Amino acid sequence: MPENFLSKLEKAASRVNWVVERICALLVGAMVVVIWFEVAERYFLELGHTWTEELSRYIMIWAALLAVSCGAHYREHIGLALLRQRLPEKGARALTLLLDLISLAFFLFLTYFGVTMAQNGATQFATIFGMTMVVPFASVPISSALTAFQIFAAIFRDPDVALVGGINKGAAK
Amino acid sequence: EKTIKLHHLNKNDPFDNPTGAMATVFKSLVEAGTNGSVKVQIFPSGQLGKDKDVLQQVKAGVIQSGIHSVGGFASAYPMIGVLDIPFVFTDISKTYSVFDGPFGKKLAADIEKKTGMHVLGFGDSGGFFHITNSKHPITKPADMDGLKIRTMGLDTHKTIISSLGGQPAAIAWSEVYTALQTGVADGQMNPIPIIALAKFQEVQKYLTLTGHLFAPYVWVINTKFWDSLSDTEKAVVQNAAKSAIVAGRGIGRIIEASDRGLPALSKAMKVNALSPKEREAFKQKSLPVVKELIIKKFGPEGKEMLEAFMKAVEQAD
Amino acid sequence: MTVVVLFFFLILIGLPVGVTLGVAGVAGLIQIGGNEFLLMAPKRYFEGLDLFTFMAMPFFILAGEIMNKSGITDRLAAFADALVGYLRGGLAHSNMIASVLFAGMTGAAVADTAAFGNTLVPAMEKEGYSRPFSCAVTVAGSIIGPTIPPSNLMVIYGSLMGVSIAGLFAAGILPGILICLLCMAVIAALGKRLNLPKSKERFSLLRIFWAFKSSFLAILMPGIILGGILFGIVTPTEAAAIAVFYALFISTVIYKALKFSDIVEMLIRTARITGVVFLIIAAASILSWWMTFMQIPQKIAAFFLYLSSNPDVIIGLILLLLLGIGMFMDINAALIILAPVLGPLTSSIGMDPVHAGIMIVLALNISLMTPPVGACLFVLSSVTGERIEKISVALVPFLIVEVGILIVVAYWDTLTLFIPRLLQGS
Ligand code: NA
Ligand code: NA
Repeated sequence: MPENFLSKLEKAASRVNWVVERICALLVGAMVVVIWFEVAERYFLELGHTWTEELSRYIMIWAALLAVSCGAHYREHIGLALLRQRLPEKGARALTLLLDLISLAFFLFLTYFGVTMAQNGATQFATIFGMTMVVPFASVPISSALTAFQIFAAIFRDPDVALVGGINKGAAK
Repeated sequence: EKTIKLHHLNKNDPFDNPTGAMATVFKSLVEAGTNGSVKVQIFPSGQLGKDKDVLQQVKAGVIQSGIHSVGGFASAYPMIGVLDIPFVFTDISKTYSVFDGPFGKKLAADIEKKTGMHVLGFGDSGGFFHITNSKHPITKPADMDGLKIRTMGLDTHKTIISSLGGQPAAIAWSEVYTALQTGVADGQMNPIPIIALAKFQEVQKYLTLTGHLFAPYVWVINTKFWDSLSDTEKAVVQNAAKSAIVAGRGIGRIIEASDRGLPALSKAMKVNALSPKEREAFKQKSLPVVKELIIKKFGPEGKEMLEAFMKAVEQAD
Repeated sequence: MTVVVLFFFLILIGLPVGVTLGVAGVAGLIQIGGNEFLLMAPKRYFEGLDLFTFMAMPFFILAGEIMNKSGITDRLAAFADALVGYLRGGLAHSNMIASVLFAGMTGAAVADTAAFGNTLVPAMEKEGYSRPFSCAVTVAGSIIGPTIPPSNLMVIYGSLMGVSIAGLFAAGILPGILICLLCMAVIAALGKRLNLPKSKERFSLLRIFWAFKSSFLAILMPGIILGGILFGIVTPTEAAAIAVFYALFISTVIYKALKFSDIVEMLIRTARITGVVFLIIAAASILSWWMTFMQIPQKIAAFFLYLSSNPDVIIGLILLLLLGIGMFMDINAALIILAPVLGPLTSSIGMDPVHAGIMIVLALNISLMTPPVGACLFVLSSVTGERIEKISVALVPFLIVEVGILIVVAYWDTLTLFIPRLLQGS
């Protein structure tokens, strides 16, 4: 692969991740606020709204699934390192590549069938706002595509170099 | 050999609840009637997912048949909400003729047209919705003032409560027991078997037999599978469902009367029934409001379905 | 069989646990064949997360983030140190006791792990405890929460099987306290060998007073949240959101220790930890659905029954089944499938339904901390950055004790039924 392509890919992956992280932050914040509203509603506002429970659930799913792609960006998804630690360097790299390819295939699979699922959501309805399920369901293909992209970018990165800004700076690896 | 994978929401014990009885009777009649050419495999207790999700499995042909709550069914056929018009039925026996008669057929045909699933019938979910609470007996709409009543997220359900002066509260089903125990909500509404099953009598003091709603179970079967059956098989399956629904109604009434139903609940809670006069006051306050909501929500089509429903109830003997 | 082999192979070569569960589930769906079954994969991936009570986990992580950043955690740790620091392993002991106090606020082990993993583990590390040991103590304590009421699994079991939920709640109290006491015994026994830290300062009422004064608002936090639940203001999941509110309030208004950029960072970290854990839950739900559809748990249960008719042996087999199933399945799904099979079975050998319910719920909760698939381990690993292998090793002594308690619970009904009987008598 040409150097130029790789550095562009890396830059794109970081930028996409930067944006996705902020969206996730916004969604987590929104989820908290919706539940605060639910409690306040019951005691102070008394508007008789009952949509908070469902809305907060869908926000949670969107936030968590989008964050799966961040986990892929930083290689944070949890697995056993028993075998990898026992292999020589070349073997370890080959193994990492194999695992990345399996993960990539899995998320591409979810993206492909997730699109169909989201389309089918057009004939299903949430109880809130008469919303179709396309909106919540779209979280699966969109987040899976982002995750697949992050895995693809990570393949070309040195797997032994942890990215700065991981969840656990200085964590035992 | 054909297999009907049948999903329902409750324990698969024919003497425990209506759907347990329906599934058991259905399996026995179908397998005997087709001489084993059609088998029935039962997935009880909501095993395969949330009700609305399993409904999609039936639609996609992942499983063949499901007995669904109105709440779950609304996700595929929102207009089922016309049945949420409160205080129309005065008597459970009337529900049989309404859902087995011309109105049931009209509704089934519309469901088939809109969702692409064949309707086997409308079963009994355990009778009427009633209201429990931990504050005081309810005899007049004013007693509802300020009571926080947990309802499903359905607009119609929350409007019934708010039109009566109560305050509908959003609480996830998985937290209702704890919420009633600690007093996050004062009360909730559900049919007797659900109240007994969820053990709400342990955390509620008063049960008012309002009977404000009747929510049937909607029994559907995948259309492609249905079409693959021979005419004889179709007849066996359809008739088996019919008998199963009758059995479900029977067990529903037996449970209500037995020591697992109302008599058990009345040991743990103070029970009162609304007199016809009291009931009328509730009806006056809530029916017009909910009716307006339904018409606004579902348009002329919904209005027509609603009127057909109310007329069928009126004519029911 | 292929699916099981594939699962173990992939997990051992180091594929992320979530992806492993997903791939194994998809392999199962492909075996059945048909596009409609392949479509079940993204559906279950979505539906597996569609549960309101899951929200408690991100809320507690976020509350922990705020508490750490603003020094609330340090103040609480200083207070705990003043109280019990002169004992060897004092902070480890107070972690256990905190689990009991916290039990009234949560109904799920994963939420407990999230709350303590993000606060007490860093605090313990600061005092000189090793990270794997701090994690082990936290995981071990996390099943106290769902054993002492309220408990999500008990509510599900009670309403599935028609067993009194109040009875189950009451029956969980003694086993929950016993877990705490025996885990403390393990900490005491390990104290010398692991050279657990001991404060240089001696026990002094004055020191406790000053620590109390400086951490008063922080100490109030659990009280306010617990009060919010007990007095019926919020549900347990909402209480987790209120924890965020209170932590945010004292951090910004009273301690003035947070900037806006800090808050963004915290929200991001919360989302990322949640993403790592929820990938596993979402993907596990694909495999769980396939197992349900193929009726595998029922088939294993039927096979076990066929092995023996001796009640004691049957109880042993049930425990094995529950601990084993918890390796592959989400425990809520496992409970929904197995309860209808195990309920009648346990009553046929004469077990009280409340007793059987506690046994089943406890076994499933313990399975949350056994590898390869143990949600509590993953939460902690993700929150602290410690490898699950290392946490698992440090966990072994605690796990032995907790399985021991499970066996006592299973074979000696008085432990569970004493309090319910007492309540019934009055
Ligand atoms: Na608890
Ligand atoms: Na496990």
